[in-house]
Amino acid sequence: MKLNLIPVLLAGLLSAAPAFSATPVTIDFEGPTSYASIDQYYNGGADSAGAVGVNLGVTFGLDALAFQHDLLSFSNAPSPVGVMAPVNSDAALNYAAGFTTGAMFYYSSANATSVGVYDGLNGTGNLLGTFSLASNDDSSYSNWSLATLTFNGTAKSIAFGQAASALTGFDNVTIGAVPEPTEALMLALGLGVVAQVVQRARRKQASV
Amino acid sequence: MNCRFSKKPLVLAVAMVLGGTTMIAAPQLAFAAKTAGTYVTGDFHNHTTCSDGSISMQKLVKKVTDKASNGGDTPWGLDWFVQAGHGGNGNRNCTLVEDATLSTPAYPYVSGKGPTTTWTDSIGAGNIKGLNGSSSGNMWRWQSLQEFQYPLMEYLNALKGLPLFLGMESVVAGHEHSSMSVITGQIPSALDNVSLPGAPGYTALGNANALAQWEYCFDRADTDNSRGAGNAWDCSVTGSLNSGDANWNSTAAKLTNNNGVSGHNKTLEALKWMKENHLTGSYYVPAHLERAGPFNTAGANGYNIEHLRNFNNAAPMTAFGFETQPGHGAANNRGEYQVLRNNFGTNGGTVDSVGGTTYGGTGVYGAQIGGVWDALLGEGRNWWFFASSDWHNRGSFGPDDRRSTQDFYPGEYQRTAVMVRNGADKLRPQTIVDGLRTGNAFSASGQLIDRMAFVACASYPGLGNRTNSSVETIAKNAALSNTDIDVAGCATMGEKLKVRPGAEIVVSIVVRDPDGSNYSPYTFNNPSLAQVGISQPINKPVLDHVDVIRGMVTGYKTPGAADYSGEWPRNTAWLSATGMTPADLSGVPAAAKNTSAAILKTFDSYAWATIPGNPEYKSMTFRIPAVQASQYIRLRGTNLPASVPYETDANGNPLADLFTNANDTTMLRIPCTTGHSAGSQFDGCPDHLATATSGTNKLGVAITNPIAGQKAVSYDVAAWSDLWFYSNPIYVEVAGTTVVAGVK
Repeated sequence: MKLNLIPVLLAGLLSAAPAFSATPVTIDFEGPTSYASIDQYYNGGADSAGAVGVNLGVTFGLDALAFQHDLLSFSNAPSPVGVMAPVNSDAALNYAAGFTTGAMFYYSSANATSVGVYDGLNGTGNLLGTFSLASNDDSSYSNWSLATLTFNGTAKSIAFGQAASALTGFDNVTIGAVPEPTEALMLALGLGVVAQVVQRARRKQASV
Repeated sequence: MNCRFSKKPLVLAVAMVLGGTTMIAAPQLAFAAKTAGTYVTGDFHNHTTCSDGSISMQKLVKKVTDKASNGGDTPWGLDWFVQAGHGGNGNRNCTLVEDATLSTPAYPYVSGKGPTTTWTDSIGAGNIKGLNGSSSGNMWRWQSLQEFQYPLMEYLNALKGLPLFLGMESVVAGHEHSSMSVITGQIPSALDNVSLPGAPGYTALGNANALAQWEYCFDRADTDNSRGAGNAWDCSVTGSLNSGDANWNSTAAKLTNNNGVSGHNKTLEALKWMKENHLTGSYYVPAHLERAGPFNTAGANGYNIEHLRNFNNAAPMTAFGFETQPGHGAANNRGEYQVLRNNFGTNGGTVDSVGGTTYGGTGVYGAQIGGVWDALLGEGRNWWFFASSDWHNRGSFGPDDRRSTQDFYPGEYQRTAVMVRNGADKLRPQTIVDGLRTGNAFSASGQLIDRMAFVACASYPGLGNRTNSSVETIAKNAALSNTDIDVAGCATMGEKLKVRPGAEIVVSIVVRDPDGSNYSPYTFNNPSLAQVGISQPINKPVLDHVDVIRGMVTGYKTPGAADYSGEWPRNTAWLSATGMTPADLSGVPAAAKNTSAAILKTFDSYAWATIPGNPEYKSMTFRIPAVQASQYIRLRGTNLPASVPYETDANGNPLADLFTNANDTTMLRIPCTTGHSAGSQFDGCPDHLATATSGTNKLGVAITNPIAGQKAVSYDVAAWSDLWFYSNPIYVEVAGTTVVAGVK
């Protein structure tokens, strides 16, 4: 196998349609204004302070506020500048187009809490799954853990407002991105094959 | 065989794949940071001999902008200055200087001439334009502004390198007076590189045509019908009746209705004209608006709250505040406010200035907690507090005397400090007017404070929690550098902080009470404070306390509704013959009060902290817990504790200045007992202070004055003894409750 075909193989593997059942969208909260409601910032509109973001088709309830590191003392967040925290119940992430398969995010919380995924907007409709979030921090917001969830059906919202009373922070929320276990296995096998090819090629190169 | 494995294509492939299937948010448009600025002090209401002042434009500019560091004979140099005489006409040429010390190459001293020389004797009657100009010798203000005052002001601007421009104190149709300007055309950027003449004569690069036209069209005192002679002005306003109005004079091409409701409507046309033609290039600030009494349906007197609402509704970018702290601070009727001042004739007889007198030098509309200003703020309006000198003269003294029985020079006593966001550019009229419009300003008398940082920040439990010290640091840094506050989730004066219900508001205030002497010439102990055992030189005032005043915002009143209009209680229905006011606002109509306004916090030397290494700076920080409704907070402060006889009440509110106004010596109550030395009028009570008497007061009440026969605190000593500052408000808009609509 020619080595210059490896990237192509890898691309084919990663982009294989069955591997992900929906286009993943990741919200890193690096852009919206600190202390502002994120609101329409990721929907082609503005946050409550007037800053305009990219259109990802995602909106947030008005109690989902952005917070930026230069004003506050959180650390080690997966994307370093901004995070999100719900300050009351109206803090759902809404994706009207719907997302399937799963979702994941990083969180930091001194208190155990949970976040539900629903097939309706604003945390309405059927509960498709629940993130159960264990306490992972001492209120310094310096430890951030990845939480993943897979579910069946098409989700339209994540009800982050449920975590408001636990004073939980969130970052790098990805929707429609968590592989099914079988799909993950196939992906791992494929990547293993690629790795072996690369290794073999390197050995061959070393013996020349 | 070359079989090197490059990682680059692999990385690209992964990036391609991930990029193709994962949308990661990236910032698009960062929230625009404010242009940097500093607080700068200025004055926009003062007079020269072109109207009813006493000195030339050059002398006034020198007096108010000289700094001691530049060798000036007056040390209170303002950072910006708007010369603003009355509309109407006048017969004196204020561009002629008093003496050779004021000579400039383009405007040299002319022997035998000066600022009281008439236009006829200087430029010749034949050159005076407009209706009856030549025959009367009176020049209409439009000509004076356009042809004489503006070129001189532009020249002085360039010569001194100072932001000087022209405004006016309009004689208002339907009301008394208003400070205003249209700055369009003035001080063009080309002036930055002008080569000034070395000989008499100056041709201006810019012009005051817009201001001159406004004066011709809308000033009550301008009855010229010449359309500005060669200017051929037409005063029409798009969308208005104009020539279809019964009050339209077709020869003059303007409205001629000047009294009562009809006059008020003409002034609304003036504001519409400014909005239409000079949206960001104009301001309109009613001056000493309580002085002439309430609104007079048959004349041109004061303003009721509905008129202020009408102005703000008609042109919110232009009519954004009031001069409720008047000038004339050294007069025998402080601010020229007094009981029974105004003759309404058959439409009301003799009527007090609204509130009777000033209160610590401020009119009742601004001074009374829960009164007119709070009513306007309670609507969420952009309506700001300003102070100006209204300089005319020194009363009994000459213009170079430090004593006064009438006025203080601009900057000498009252100073309005406004945040001007000029970045790296120099101060220009536009950025100054923009600064005034924002309301990020505070006014202080007697240099009681000269720096202020006032900030409110949102705080939420958890990630969004702010500590007191973090907000205090924001305020401290701003105050130390005299700069603005530009922090996300925080707001300062004139701004609104948008929060979610339940947010906690962290408020931090840092003010500088400067050490050393202020600009008062008097060095003896403050006789008002002496009443309560405090020994403190008048010229070295010390901030006693700061009040935080809070009111709730309930939205705009609807024109025509019962709570839209209402006159402040007239005459003794407010200020009694004893000088006392009602204990509450029950007699004030609903339209003119906001009963939610109250003192929220008071800080004094026991409650504030000083900044380490900078003891002049006082720092105060507190939290407003769990806000559930839109509101505002504002500040006031004073050198006087609560319960200083005849100065403050038990809650620290200023009492009526009736007790220090020399126009009624039966009501003077504070003795001034420190003798002055033989060679000085400044190290003890000066000779010009009034002597208290017994007798019948202005309201016809027999008074036995306990200090009869003694020199009493009055005139300029009264003003220097009784110092206050006022901040403009910070609004807090709580989502889901009343929108603070006046602040964008």
